Amino acid sequence: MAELDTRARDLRFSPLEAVSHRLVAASATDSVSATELPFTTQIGLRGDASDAAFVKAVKAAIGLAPPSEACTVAVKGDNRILWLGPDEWLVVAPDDVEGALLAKLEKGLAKLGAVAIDLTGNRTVIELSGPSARAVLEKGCYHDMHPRAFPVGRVVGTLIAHTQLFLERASDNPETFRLYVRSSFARHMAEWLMDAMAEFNESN
Amino acid sequence: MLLIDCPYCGERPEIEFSYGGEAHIARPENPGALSDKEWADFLFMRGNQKGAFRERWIHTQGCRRWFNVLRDTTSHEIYAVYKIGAPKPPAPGEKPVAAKKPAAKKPAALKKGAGK
Amino acid sequence: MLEKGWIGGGNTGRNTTIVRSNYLFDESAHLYEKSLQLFEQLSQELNYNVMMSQRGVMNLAHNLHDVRESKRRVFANKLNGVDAEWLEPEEVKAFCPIIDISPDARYPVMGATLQKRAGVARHDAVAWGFARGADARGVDIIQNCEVTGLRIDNGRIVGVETTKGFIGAKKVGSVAAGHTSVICGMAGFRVPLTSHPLQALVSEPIKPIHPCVVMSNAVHVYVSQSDKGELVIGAGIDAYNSYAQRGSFHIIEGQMGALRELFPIFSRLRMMRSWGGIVDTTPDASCIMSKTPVENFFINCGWGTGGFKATPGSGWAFAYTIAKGEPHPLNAAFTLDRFTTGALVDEHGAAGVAH
Repeated sequence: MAELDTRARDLRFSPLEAVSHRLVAASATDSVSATELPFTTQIGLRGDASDAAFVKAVKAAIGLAPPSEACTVAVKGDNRILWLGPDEWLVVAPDDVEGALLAKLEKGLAKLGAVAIDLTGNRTVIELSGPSARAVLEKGCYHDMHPRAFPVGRVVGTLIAHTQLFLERASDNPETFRLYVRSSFARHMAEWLMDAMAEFNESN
Repeated sequence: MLLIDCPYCGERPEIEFSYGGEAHIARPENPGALSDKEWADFLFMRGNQKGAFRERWIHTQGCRRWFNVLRDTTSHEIYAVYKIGAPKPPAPGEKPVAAKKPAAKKPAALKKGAGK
Repeated sequence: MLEKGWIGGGNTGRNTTIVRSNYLFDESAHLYEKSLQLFEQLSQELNYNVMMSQRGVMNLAHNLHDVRESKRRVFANKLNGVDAEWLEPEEVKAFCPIIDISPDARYPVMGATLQKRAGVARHDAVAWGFARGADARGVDIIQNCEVTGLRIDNGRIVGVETTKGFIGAKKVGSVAAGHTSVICGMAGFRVPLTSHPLQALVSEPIKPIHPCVVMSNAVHVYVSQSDKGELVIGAGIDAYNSYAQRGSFHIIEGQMGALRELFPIFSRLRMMRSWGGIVDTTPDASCIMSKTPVENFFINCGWGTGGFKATPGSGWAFAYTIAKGEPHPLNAAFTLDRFTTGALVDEHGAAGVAH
């Protein structure tokens, strides 16, 4: 089993693997850089945040309670829980833990009116970072990304370049956004980003 | 473009939403018991009000939740946004359904998201 | 004839002037073909140049489903005596050289239906030609006269209340487009209509470059060039109900994207004016020309996004309906009853606009 897992890992490729070198070329650390965070574990959660048993079970499995405030992210170490809707969250964790995490969650939620489902591979994550990151995103997004309206720890479901995504402001130093994009739209998003980034990379 | 105040996520541009037409049309409990005329009335006939109009929207690109909007179809002004199942806020000039619900006030449980 | 504003100030003056009759079902094809035939002789009949230009309308197909449905429509049209032909991509290019038919386009052109007798007519000329013709035949046209109520006695209409006072009438016909629900509300019954904004726009004028009318459901735009040189461009309705004669900007953005997709040559063209009309859409994208629950009160509505092309035929059949108190065979299928009987005439494909 373990051997098979290793071989599967060797064979797999992420949605943006084919353009990763172009993302590097399009990036400039002093203005804006884009990189894919491939293969993150992603688990969809549905439940009632006012149900203490649900919160407790999630906390026990992930070390984090699902945030009850709309459009916020709970972060602890490498794990995060994104608020997607009033009874819906996305757990994001490092590569290769989905089996163990899911088993823990399923066990904890078994007797509750709640569900955890493996959504790993549904979306890939693009991290956009640097002082010009916001200017790049603002070219194709109606959402107000000023820190006053969209501080660190916020996540919104919105559209960039006609493509649905969850957009998280992950850090302010340097300004860093995470774009959770559906795999089949990732290439389009990457192409659009590289085009939008071009003016900020003077070596181009 | 409309700015719609999602009762869960806050004010967002119209492109994040999809339209669901007239609100508060209850599906008949027992369609088989209806006459053809009653069924047509449920399925096809619409108020299509000019002025204050109760309609459904879904925040498709965001939290994916349905909710109701009270909007003026002549000015596009949004008078109120309220969750499915919440009491209907009165339209301007309309008597409140329950006296404790003044116009334009949103349900107390409303949580504001980004932008607020 | 009572008009709330002025003649030609509503949807007649706001549409994209396309005239065609290539509808799928027999009922629609007969009605629109009658209309097209009347259009062909309208300038002579009215002694007023309506600038009818039968330059041909192409409906593009961008995928295999489009191709199958389009060919089906060509065959159906031919069986109904409506001229129609199928064009392969090269023939599309020959008919309209500025179209991009490259196979690597996001939505490649895989062919088109062509109705050569179809084309455009000057919308406000049609309105004024009809107004002058009606006036000459003794019709009183009262503008700035809004209907504010219907006087109904024992289930029978006896006249209309207006901003200029009561006007008695033995029979009343309502042709109120987007406001039909409001008028029918005065009569106490509901209709299966929702009113939406439909936006259109024109570009700056340029020399003649676009020889026909091109419509595409898949990328969703339709465009012709007016005699003034402006491109006249339309697309789909705004999703929400509205009586406001304006819509949202992202609809226009989509429309421009579609235009650029089909015609890269227009990518630097500037747009000059945009506007909106209120269209009354039905669940089956077909009109309603019908008696109503109120005796001697008739409605002609539900033309949605495509009423202009039907103007003469619709008027012709509606006049018959009012005079005889019964629909003509041409509009017999388009009753209000069909929403109860289920005999819908689903023309969403041929109506060519998503709603």
